[in-house]
Amino acid sequence: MGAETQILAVVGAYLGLSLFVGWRAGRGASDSATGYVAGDRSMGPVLMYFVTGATVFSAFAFLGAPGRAFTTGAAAFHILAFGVLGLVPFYWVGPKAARLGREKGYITQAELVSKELRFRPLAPVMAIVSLMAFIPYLALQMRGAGLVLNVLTGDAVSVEAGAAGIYAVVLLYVWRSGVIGVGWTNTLQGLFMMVLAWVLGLYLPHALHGGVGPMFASIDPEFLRLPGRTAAGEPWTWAMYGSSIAVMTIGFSFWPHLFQKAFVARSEKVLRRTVVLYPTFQIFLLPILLIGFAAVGFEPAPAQADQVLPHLLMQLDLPAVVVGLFCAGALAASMSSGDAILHSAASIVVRDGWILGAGKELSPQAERTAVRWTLLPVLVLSYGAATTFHKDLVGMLAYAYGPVGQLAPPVLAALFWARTTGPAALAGLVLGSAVTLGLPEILKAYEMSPLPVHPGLPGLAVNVAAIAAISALSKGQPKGQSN
Amino acid sequence: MKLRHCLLAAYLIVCALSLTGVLFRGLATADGLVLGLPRGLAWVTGWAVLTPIVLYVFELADEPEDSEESAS
Repeated sequence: MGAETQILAVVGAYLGLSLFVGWRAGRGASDSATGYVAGDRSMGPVLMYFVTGATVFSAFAFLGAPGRAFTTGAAAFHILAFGVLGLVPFYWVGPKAARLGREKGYITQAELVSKELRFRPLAPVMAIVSLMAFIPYLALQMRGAGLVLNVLTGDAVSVEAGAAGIYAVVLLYVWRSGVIGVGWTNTLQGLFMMVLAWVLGLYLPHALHGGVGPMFASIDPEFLRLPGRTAAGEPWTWAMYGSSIAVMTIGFSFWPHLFQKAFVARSEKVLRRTVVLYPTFQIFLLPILLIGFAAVGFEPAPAQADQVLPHLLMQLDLPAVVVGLFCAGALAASMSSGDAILHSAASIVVRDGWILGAGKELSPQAERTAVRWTLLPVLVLSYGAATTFHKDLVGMLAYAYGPVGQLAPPVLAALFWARTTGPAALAGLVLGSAVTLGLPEILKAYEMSPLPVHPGLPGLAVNVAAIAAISALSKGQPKGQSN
Repeated sequence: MKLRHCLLAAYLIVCALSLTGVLFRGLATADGLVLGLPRGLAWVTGWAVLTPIVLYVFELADEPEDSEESAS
């Protein structure tokens, strides 16, 4: 049996196991939208830990993070830094959202905000902002999966075919089991990724440099000094380093697919315990960065930064079965995020766009069917982006974080500031997103100096100022919710 | 605001300012390795290890008055 065949056999076995676990998981769930999207609000602590941790531990982690360490040195430490506090706001936001979800039947973030503020136009706008982040993020996962399979099979499987095959499996188990399928497969995938991350992160520095300490001792100390470099090799500024961490930390809890987990948990205590344990998942990013540093000075150098890990594996003459296992680990990282995003995107389109935005009535069973059918166009659109949009993986992630960070102020205001009005939240969201996405383009068009900080930061400032000013000046009825 | 909330808030502020390079920049950029890791990476990893411990202690202290299991 050839090496490519053995690798494909291992990958096939892994995909079969994921499909089996994901397919069986949906047996006990009710046939309503609450069962399919919120898992009948019954998820316990183990599933919650993995569904939040593995959801964030994506293709970006196994491919983008080593690539970023390899090209930018210490700048890559920000990947580990933003997750340390990223989920902390959820300690207070999550239980409050869960309580409201139970009382009023909410299953999406936009539904909670628009109904609490009694302003329906917010829901479709938040859905659009969510999709603007989801499509590139899902495309990133698909492209990462295709890249791994392509490189490790020596071009026997194209990036496009690999991405299509792997996400066909994801589609099957998400279609059948909804969020419970996502939860159980994420548990399997999370365990698999953790083991492989540490095995690879310790093995590669040892095999190439004699250990982690000798590896770092052999690298130019300037390359390892914060705040590191840009991808182009220029020095990165502290302002950009710090503001990137700040924007990604603020946006973290408000990724709509992560926020939706507030409606999935069995209890508020489970939610709080998930937040407490979450930073331990970040520690698994440490060996991932070690992989990237192991490639510094390695000859031949990888052709693309995103291919550091598969490139090293191919150069080390490892047995094909072992390479196949590592390949499956990277696919697990891609799938564990991709399935959650796909499921969340479809539920947002139906609940926030169709039901709340367009005002259409659907029975719980019809809504579940609609969410299932919406999985297909979301997947096709993301696949199109994955095969045509060739930004590097970290660049795609940074783009996706821009609009997501802007969801934080309206959600926090809706939950914790009784004076907030719907139009103010809408204005904040729209203006904040416009500044985040538009300002860098305007500066570029007029050949002006780029912003010295992450564009999400001025976006957040405008967002917060708009919500505060318009709510304070509004003579209309605030949401009046007691806190 | 209770003392434990003030202490947690202080921890979170110091942690956030340290991770973004506003505080203790000299410690995070010094030469040499700590436990085989460059200072900056050891610095970030240290916060990642310490934070769940601090949150766990806070949760234990907060639990008695806020331990309802809101199962439906």
